[in-house]
Amino acid sequence: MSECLLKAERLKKNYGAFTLDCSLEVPKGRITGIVGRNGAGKTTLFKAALGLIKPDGGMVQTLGKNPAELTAEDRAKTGVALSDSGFSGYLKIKEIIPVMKKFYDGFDEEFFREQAGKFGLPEDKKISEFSTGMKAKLKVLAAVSHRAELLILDEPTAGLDVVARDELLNMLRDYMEGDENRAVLISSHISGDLEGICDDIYLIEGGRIILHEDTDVLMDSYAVLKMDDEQFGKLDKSHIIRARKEPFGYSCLTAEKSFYTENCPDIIVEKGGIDGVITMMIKGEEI
Amino acid sequence: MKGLLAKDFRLLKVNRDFIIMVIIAGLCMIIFSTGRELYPMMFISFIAAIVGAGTITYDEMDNGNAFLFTMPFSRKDYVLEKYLLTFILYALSLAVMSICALIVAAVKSTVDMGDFGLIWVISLIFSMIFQAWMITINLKFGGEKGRIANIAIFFVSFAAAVLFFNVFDPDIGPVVHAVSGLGLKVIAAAGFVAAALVYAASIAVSMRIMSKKEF
Repeated sequence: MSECLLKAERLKKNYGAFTLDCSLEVPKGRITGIVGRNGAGKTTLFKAALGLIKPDGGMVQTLGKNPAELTAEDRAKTGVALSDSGFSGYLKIKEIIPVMKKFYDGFDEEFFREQAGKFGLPEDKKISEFSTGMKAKLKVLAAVSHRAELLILDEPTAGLDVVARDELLNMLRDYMEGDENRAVLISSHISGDLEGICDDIYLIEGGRIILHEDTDVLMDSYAVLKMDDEQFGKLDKSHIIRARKEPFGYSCLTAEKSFYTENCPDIIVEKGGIDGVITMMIKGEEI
Repeated sequence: MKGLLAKDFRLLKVNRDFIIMVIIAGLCMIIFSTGRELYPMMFISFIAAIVGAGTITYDEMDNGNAFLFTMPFSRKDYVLEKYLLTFILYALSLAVMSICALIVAAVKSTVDMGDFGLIWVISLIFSMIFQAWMITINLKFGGEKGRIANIAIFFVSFAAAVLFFNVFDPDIGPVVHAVSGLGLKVIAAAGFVAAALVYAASIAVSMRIMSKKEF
């Protein structure tokens, strides 16, 4: 595995009954996605990686350092968009620009203004008066406007319409093409966004990573098998990851689609997709 | 720190009407009062501390601190910037009020210019102590809870002082006499040293508070 810009090993954080306990790597040159239900631990993981909260155990390194020890220069190498936090609503874009210039030596004002115009973000309007989608666009735009090495984006597409999501994801693709040493960690509850852009995907549930797979493998080799009770009884379950009882019989998740396509022609084999995999991983049972 | 200052000066525009009202009130006090033309130089020290420390409230609004603290500065920078910002606000307001007072003094004969330096020193002492207090309380408790904490601490301190004097009935006459015998310059110098110590302690406490905060 190439050098990681972000790495967590058995990273732990306790909030009452909830415990985050996960390991994750974001190598250079890759877009790594993390998907999970609300409250699964995505934001907690992001905040630990950014030094906003202190871990209770384990290890997390951002740009090769403990986040608490990141210098201002290190922080300038990260671009961040958080789902529940952003610029002060009292500021306007025309006021944010000089602030960003002061914070980031690499701030590309021309790009920022051009993209803001393209996204329909008015420069002379208070951010508190922006729609949810406009705020989301501004967060990501600010994150990619200062030539950061690592982007950490928590639900950046939330609240965006299909066209705006596509524009934003294209902006991330352009960002990655700008420098092969860059990396992105992105979370989203919209699986289509992650399928289209991520190189690998982590699935988090209850504070734990329950699946990590390359997106290509996830899309090509994973499948949801559907069958009645009798077919399920006879099924070779050596490649079944999860099974779930359904009104019609059983749904099973496998990472060996071709095995079942070839050996069990009488059962239904559906392309799982991220949504299918998530549902089966969370709702299904191990055999 | 330049970025933080740039942000805060832009956020202060939110208080523009309040700041204009304070300046007008100060100017009115200078122009229309007789014999108390220099008093506004005292009260602006409190206003500057309130406005400067108030930017902490704007930072934490809508969970804004989480994003803010991902930007390129350290928690130590953040604390120092709040003290610097508040002191800049104080210095600017003091300069404006002083210029106005000097102009009025040139026109009116009621202003005793001998008090000018003394008022400056007293203003600085009060300002340093009040800035230290306001910034530390706002960092510890936040804007809303900070107000409650301020009121609670004031009443507890007042009650403790009353209780102390009622129970022990100390004879402070000799102390007052001894202090007044020191002369204004010595008292002012001692006051400045005490304020500087409070200011330094406040910065240290504020840094400790911020180092433990989670967003």
